[in-house]
Formats: sequence, C-alpha cells, structure tokens
Amino acid sequence: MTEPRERLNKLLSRVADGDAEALSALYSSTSAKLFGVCLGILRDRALAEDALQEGFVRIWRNAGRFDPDRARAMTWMISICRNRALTLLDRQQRQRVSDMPDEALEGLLGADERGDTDPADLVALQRCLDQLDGNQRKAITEAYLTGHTHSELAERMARPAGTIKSWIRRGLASLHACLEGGEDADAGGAEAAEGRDA
Amino acid sequence: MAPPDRDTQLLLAGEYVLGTLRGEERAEFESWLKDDIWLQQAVEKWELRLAPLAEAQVEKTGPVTPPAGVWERIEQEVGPGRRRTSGITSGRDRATSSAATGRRPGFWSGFGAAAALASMLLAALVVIWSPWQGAEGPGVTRIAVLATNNGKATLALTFRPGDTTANVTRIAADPPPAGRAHELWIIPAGGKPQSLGVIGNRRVVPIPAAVRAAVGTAAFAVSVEPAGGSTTGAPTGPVIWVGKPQPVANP
Repeated sequence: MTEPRERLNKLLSRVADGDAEALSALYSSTSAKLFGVCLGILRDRALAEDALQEGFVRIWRNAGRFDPDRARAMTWMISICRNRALTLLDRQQRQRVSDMPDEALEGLLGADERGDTDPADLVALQRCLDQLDGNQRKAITEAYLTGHTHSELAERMARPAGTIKSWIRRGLASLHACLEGGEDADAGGAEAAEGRDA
Repeated sequence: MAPPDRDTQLLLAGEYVLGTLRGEERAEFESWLKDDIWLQQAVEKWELRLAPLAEAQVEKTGPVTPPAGVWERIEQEVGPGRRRTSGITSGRDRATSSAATGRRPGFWSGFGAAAALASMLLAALVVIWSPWQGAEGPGVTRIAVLATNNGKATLALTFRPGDTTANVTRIAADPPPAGRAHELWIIPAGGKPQSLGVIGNRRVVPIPAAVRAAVGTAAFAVSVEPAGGSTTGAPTGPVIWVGKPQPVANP
C-alpha cells in the first residue's frame, strides 16, 4: 500500500476547503503517478507537464465536487488529468504511432494488485473486459492507455479505421452491459476472480 | 447538430473517455456535455470504470517524478499556500427562496452601475448585518457582501489585505440551475474579470497572486456558467450577484 485511500480522501477534502498545504501534500503523493498517466497519453514531457499542471489546478478548483462515496480519490484525479491530457493531445492534432510494444499492453490486466489500486474495481473491469472479443478488448484498452485515434489504431492493428471504430463501439456496448449487470452477477464475478487466481 | 439518442450518447461518452472522439466530434460532444447532467454522469461513470486500467498501467511502467517547475507553476496559479483560519466562518443557512436566477443578458455590460448600486446597498447591509464597527486600516478584515441587483444579499467574502484566500459565507445563496455552476470573479478596478473558480460548496476561495494587491479596491461578481465553469476565461453567462469589499474592525 503506497497511499491508503483514506489519507487521499482526507487531503482532498482539505483541498476543497482551500487548504493549499493539503494540495501540496496531495501533489507529493500522487504527481508521479499522474504524470505517468499523462505521459502514457501524450508521450511528450513538455505536454505532459502542461497536462499535469492543468489537472492540478482543476483538482484545486473542483475538489468540492469530489464525492468519496462515488469514487476513490486516485480514480477521480486520474480522470481529471487524463481529460486534460486528451484535450491537449487533440489540440496538437498529432498523428503519431506509438512505439509501445504490444507486450507492454498484453498481460497488463491481471498483472497488478499492488499499490492502492482497488482490487475490486480492477477485478470487475477485468472480468468484463475478459468477456469481450479479443480484438474489441485490444482496441479498447489500447485506445484508453495510449490516446491513439481510430486511424492510428488502424495502422497499428493493420485493419481499416472503420473496423476499429466498430470494434470499439460494440466492445463499449458489451462492456457497459457487463459492468451495469455487476450487481446481479456477484457470484459470477467471484468465480471469475477465483478462476484467475487458481 | 442535435445530439443522437441516449443509447448512442452512452457509447459516445465511452469514446470520449477512451480518447477516440477527436477534433470536431470531440468539440461537439463537449458542447452537449456542458448543459446535460445525464451526459456528464455517463462520462463520469466511464471515467471511474476505466481508471483502474490507468492505475494498473502506471503501477507497471512505474511512476515518473515530474520536474520541480510543474509544482511551482501550479502554486503560482492557485496562490502560494497557507490556510486561512481567521475570519467569519458562520453564516445563516442558505435560504431556499425561489427567486429566479434567470438570464439577464445585458447585465454584465451594466456592471459598473450595478456594482456602484450594490456597493451602496452593501454599506447599509454591512452595518445592519455585521456586529463590528467599521474601521479603515491596512490589517483590517474586509467583507464583500454580494447581492442581487435588487439588493438581496447572497454571499459574503471575507479576507484581509495580502491574504491568499478569502472565506466564503452563504447568506441566501440559491443553488445554480440544474447543470450550471456559479463562478466567482474578481474584477480589479479598471481591469478584466478573473476567475476565482466555481463556488460549489467551497468555504474558501483562492486569491491569485496577480490580483492580490488590488483586492481591496476590486469588485466581486458571480455569473452562471456551464458546470465546471466558463471555458473561455471570461464570464459567459448572466452576472447575478455583485459586491465590493468594505473594511470592518476585527472583533
């Protein structure tokens, strides 16, 4: 456990009260991870720095809207910083194909239960991703992690952009159905998790 | 273009979060997002669902310490930090009056006159409302009571000259219309409005370094903006409350 969620939640609620020291502590605890997330999408240090900066200014301004009953602090902050990174990426209109090896993406899921990632969140997501068609799963995880456009993904996966688009659409629809059905499928989820551990 | 049906919007929200919605499509989606709570919630749901992927990736590739300059720039933008503990923290509960916060498009342009009027009303209000005697002086707490243009006091800001933050006290602040936010602005004398952020349920707002010296003579205003605040850096919606700071003696 690097950062127990309670500590981050408390820091965020102090940030919501305008406590700049809490913002500084929050930055110390989370900026390296969030910078990693921004870099993953932007692959450009200067741009990733801008995304992180904009992200933290938003965290400061919007901390009052963080609701610990609905999200973990880290999840919420990742969402904000990813959004800034995607906005900057879109603005750059850069066409670039990642040099990230496929192996780095393969095995990413299920690899990790260290750190403060909530295993329950990851297991639920993983269970539903596992149910997708392999191409759909790959297109979705790769799009999410790398910020590639349809045409960049098309180049990487050697398929037409239209095909990638429909993989993603259909994959998202299945993912939504699976994740929304989560409450009814507890037993199935537990089984799937056990199956993976075995 | 009119937004498509909800089922399609749900998938577009997923694509927005994945990042495959780009360019005009992304801009168009964001324009729907501004005023649509349902869509905002759909986006949030996707963000929260997928975030474990990003966390897992960072755990795998390892965190990367950003250069020190990033924090310095953040600090500059939010104001260097110390917490304000003095000042007014209590306040009457927010009234649930149904007074309209409807659009008044010409209001911003008439802001100078409105501010002057509000300021006169406020001088009276402060005397009635505040238990302290007024007194001028550099270290003296200032209070800016924001009021509607018919004089209903809604919100008070208190700070001392040089403070990096101001305390917010709700007097009779109606919540913003659904899907909108109240954004607070500081207008230095003769200058342009600068955002102090969306008010939400904040009890403290930052005073940016750039306006700190001018804060005693600045005006404050609240406008109705898209959820998350104005995206242009200037007020885009109607300005509904205004006020100027007045000195008060510390108790």
